[in-house]
Amino acid sequence: MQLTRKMSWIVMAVSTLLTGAVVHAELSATDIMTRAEQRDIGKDEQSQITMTLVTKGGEKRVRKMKMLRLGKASSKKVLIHFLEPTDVRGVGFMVWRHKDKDDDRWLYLPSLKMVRRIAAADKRASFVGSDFVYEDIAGRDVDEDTHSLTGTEEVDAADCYVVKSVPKSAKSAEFSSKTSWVRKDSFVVVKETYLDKQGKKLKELTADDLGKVEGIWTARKQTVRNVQTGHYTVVTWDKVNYNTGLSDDDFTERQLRRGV
Amino acid sequence: MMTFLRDNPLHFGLVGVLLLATSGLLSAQQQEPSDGVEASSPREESSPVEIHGFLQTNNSIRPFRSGDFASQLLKAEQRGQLELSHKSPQWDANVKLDFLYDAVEAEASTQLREGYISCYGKNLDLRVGKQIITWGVGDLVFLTDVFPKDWAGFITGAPIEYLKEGSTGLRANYEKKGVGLEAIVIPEFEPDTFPTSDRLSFFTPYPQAADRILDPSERSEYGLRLSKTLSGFSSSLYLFSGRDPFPIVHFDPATSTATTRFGPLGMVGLSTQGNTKKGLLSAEAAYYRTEDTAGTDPEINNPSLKTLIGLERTLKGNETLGFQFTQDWMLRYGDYRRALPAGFPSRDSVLNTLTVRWRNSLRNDTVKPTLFGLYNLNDRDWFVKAEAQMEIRSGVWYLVGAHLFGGGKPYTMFGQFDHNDNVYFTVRAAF
Repeated sequence: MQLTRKMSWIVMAVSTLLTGAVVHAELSATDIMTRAEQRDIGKDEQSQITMTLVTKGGEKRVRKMKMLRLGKASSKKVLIHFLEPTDVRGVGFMVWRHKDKDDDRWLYLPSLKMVRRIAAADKRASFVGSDFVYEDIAGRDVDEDTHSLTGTEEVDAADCYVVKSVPKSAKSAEFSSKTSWVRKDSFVVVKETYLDKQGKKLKELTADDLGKVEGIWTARKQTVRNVQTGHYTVVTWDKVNYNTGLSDDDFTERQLRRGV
Repeated sequence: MMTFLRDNPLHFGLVGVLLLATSGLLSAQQQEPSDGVEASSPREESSPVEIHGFLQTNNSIRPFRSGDFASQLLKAEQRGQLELSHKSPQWDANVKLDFLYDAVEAEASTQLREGYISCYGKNLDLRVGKQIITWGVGDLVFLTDVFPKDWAGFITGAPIEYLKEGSTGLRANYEKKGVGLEAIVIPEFEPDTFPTSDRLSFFTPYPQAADRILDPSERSEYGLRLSKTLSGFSSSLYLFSGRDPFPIVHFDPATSTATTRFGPLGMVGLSTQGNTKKGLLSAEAAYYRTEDTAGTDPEINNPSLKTLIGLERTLKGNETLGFQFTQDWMLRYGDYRRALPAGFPSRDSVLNTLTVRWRNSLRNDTVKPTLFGLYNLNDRDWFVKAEAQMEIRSGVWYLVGAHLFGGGKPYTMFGQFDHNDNVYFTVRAAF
């Protein structure tokens, strides 16, 4: 009886694992990107970030910022205030993502105590001179692209899905296609490559120092390298806290003006 | 304004209080943060007293002789700014003191750029002291922004942040459920800073006056701004009661005295800014109720309605192109024309102005060129500002630019500056 019960547990466990494997095996490329977008990243996040901009010649510029995030994917709100360098200290940026319509974005200039909106098309513009564009900060909807599964590969000894994504509207993106390496165990995107409109490799993103913070998979370091210019940007998360109780009231023009 | 601290002992006191407050915090910062701070607050930590500032040289030259004005240095200003600030979740304090020396005028002065204390509540923020207040959505066109500006510095190429001057007063900001209400009380009106240097050309009414007096125009100012994002558009309603920043000059022939004063102004305004398929749309309107409601005193501006519509489009990457069209509708225009003495220049009932702004950001934000042009279709006067800011390394940049002014009439807004074309050069090292 005892043995039978043990056996049944084993059978259940194996069948669950198998079912899981089958489910993973049957995931479409869109499913994979959706799982990546919808993975648990906490209800909110408060981070302190260091962004290092490095020229082809090795010259470095460092920007430190504080970031607040509420929600995820198309219902995400992000508030960023710069801490360093001095000449941009206090500059604020806020974005409210929306499903099926342009994001609302604000910029705060502390020297003029002025909040102004930013044109929606600027989402493909460089974010404070880095190799990230504004869209990288806010995120891009999965259904803005057509996805295809091109295979599986190992990245840093971890099994990854390889998904190619092509914008449904060429005007909606700075790239003609991107390829994402999504870890099978955590659905974290650990590598991305972008091709420009001419099909030449434009930039490459890698996520490193992956580990769990408060039970949530977190890449503490991201590097974006513009292959064409040799310029690259390294972002490290110096402090990360999840589920801190942020609310919509923390993502308002008042909070943007209030600064760090 | 440049001798602000020397002129106004009230501000000495304010600076002293703020410096004491911030220095007293040095020891407070060695304590652990209070347990009473809500976990939900995004600002959980107090910062120590931070010391920042910059050293800057800002120089301007008229490169060619223009009319009676020789080719000469217009400004050789050396400026050091010291900023002390402290932030905690419940309050902050900030002092920015500027130390200046202008080699052209051989003048040294100290200027309190900002000096305030803020308290933060759940829904209400209070800020008291000298602070910069900006209203409206215009780009170098100000309809609802009636707060002090430094036009003298602007004309000679001061960094754009110096166009705005601080107002000493109280500001309360209440926000709930996405609706913001800002209330401003400024006990003492402060006028804009206009050019006075004999190196600059500008319109002087009644040039025959033997004596010129500035009426202090003492009056408190009150402002209210109600704001909300409506259908993705940041929208505001403004109410203001205070002084008209546009000066009134009265000439008394008996004493040959020209008296400048600033008349009462009531202003109601609206603004909105948001994205459309065509780009970033801005719109603003303001009704100015001036002292001369009947429109029969030609020395005083009539009541007016001012409107602005602007569109900014992204060309590629960080490159943008923006246009603004503004109209200034003089009300009671017939009364104005009837009251205008013979021989006095008259203005049109509606002044139409077009502006264009191109800007870009190159080499990973280290090179930022911008071009701004303004043309008044009625007065046919114009202004061009072209500049490029280059970052040498983090916190160190230089800026070169040029201002061109034009217009056939010496009394129009930009025509009066016709001889002030200048090239300017700024270097700043921030710490």
